[in-house]
Amino acid sequence: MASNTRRVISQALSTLQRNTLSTGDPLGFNQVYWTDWSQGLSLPKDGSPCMYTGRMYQMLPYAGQAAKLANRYQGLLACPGMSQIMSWGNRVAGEKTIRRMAGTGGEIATRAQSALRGISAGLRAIGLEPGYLYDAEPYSGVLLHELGADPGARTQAGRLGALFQSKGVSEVVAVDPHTVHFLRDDFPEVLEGAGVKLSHYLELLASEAERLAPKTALPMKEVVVHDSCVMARHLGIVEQTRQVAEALGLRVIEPPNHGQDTACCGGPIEYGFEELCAEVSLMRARELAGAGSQVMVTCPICLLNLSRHEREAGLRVWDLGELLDLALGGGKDAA
Amino acid sequence: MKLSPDPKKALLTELNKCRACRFCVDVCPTYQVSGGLEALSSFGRIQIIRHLLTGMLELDDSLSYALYSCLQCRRCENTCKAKGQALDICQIIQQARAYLAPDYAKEVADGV
Ligand code: SF4
Ligand code: SF4
Repeated sequence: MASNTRRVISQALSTLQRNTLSTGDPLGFNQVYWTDWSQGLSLPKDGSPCMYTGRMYQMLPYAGQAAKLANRYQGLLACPGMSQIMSWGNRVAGEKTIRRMAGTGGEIATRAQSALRGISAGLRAIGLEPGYLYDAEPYSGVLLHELGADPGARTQAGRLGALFQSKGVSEVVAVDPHTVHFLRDDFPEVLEGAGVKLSHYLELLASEAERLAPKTALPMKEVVVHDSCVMARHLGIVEQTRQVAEALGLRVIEPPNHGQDTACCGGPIEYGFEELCAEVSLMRARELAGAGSQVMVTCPICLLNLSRHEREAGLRVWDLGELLDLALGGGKDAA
Repeated sequence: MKLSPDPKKALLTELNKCRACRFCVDVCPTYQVSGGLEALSSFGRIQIIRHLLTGMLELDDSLSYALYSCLQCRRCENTCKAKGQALDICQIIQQARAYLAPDYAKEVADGV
């Protein structure tokens, strides 16, 4: 165990809080990076439901590097005063370093963008006209809440509710389970107060799954479904995942520990416990590999953490959004 | 567990429902990969929180590691529920973080 855990957590929390509250971005990035996925899709700003990405997929290439940076400097952080200059955000070791380490974002950025395009294509395939607030859309604050920094999380969630209200948004579809759980169960008063109805995209797609007829055959016939902990145990979304996969022509293989009994990808502790996180995700990746080589996930955090072990465990990890993108043609036709 | 104006009391009330059967321990992923360190299991974390709340322990580096390395995955809760107790283990841990370590987010900013 690290001998400087208190400082690492203090560092992570204060940086997260400062960045989120001052810039609306947990990494404190000033340059817009979270709207790239939507290029060419012509999503209307006033479409309904409004897609809320919470920047979760877009952050993947940077979040991984930020965590590495934080973990690399754990020793330094223990020195009095060093923690003040070694933050992950917009300070000395900030945006430039993380961007350089992440390069152009690499494969995970491509996958994340494809997942978001696929989700928007799925929504259009069932007859909706999803909107998007582009660079006005902030991060939700979910990680602050999970780490116990509730005042900051509440402030950020309140800002989000006020934003939807000011934009006249009455229906929101979020794309990841952590954000939905945060807004639906942890701070339900925020969206209720703003008169906003919230769904997860799988809830909408599953209700009209027969309309998801694939235009392009997928490169596999069956997938091993890895349920996200938050999706299955917090939100109770299990069957919907299978219904959508089957609508795309896939046979679902259930690995050991699935549905309500799913096993964690390790991701939620990456911010400060890189080694422990890697051990948990490798354990799950090996368990999934025992059931098949094509794995389907429905959460950006699972995508990042399980895809790290693809070579070692002999897997290819797909986000369901990526499969929707492949099957439905990225939604560009429909745009 | 409902959020309460008296979080310490609410936490202790919820903790007291634990009957120490330890059925939840084996399913905890951090316990599994740590080679069986009970401090990194659901039951271990509950005991640590209890002793932190009653003043038997102080929040140092290793106890912070135990408190903050929980994945909030709720796997332990499933087992606890199946065995008839149904403690809100994740919420206990999240609320303990909020109650016991509110200064963590401030320490760096204040130059501690
Ligand atoms: S299963 Fe529930 S009652 Fe049993 S030790 Fe774990 S938390 Fe306590
Ligand atoms: S929620 Fe925390 S304590 Fe419970 S099984 Fe998951 S990691 Fe272990």
